[in-house]
Amino acid sequence: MRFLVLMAEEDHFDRWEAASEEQQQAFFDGLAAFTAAVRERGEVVLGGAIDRPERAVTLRGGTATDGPYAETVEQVGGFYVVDLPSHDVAVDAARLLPVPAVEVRPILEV
Amino acid sequence: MTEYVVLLPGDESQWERTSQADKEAMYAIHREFAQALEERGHKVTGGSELANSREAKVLRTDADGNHTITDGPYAETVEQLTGFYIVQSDDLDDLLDVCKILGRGEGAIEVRAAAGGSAS
Repeated sequence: MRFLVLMAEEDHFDRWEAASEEQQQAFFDGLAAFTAAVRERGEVVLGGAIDRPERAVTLRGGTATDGPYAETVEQVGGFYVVDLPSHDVAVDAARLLPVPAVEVRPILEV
Repeated sequence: MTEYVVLLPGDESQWERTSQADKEAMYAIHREFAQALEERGHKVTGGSELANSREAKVLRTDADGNHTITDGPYAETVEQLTGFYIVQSDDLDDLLDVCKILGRGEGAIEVRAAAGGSAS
């Protein structure tokens, strides 16, 4: 089964830019621990960090506006698509991600 | 090429009430979108439709490292992420133009660069 893993955090982008090199390295170590755990049971299909929400462009009814589609306090800063045996295994691996909130959602096979 | 994430938020309850015929029409719009991307030099490297957000699980970690797991999405918004594409493109304006095809069926489409690029 494939799952989308969304990493969300308040002020993620400002915190990241203010983080020391050691803090950034600790973050990358956390990501590496996560991908290693996923690879023990399955596969990392995709993964990436995304740009600041204010640099997003949202189309509604053909009209383009700057900014994300939802003005939430927590914004997604990165994501993975993983292929693992179950939702529980995916959530368990997500414990290794160094972010305060992780959403793990099944992907539909269409 | 810059990598972009195309996010498709929508009203899930409306989608659940949609007839199979109307869902097929929506999938046809997505096929047309994929074909237009290919014809206009953009490259789709990933993408999926997502399960309803009620099937999501959210793991939260506090400052002391304690975990809690809850059902549902991380943000309680009316619009929830219903699907996404990952697209490599050299031309954001043209990518946005192709995204207007999706706009015939999708209420909102957010396009954001992968980190390192810029979508504006």
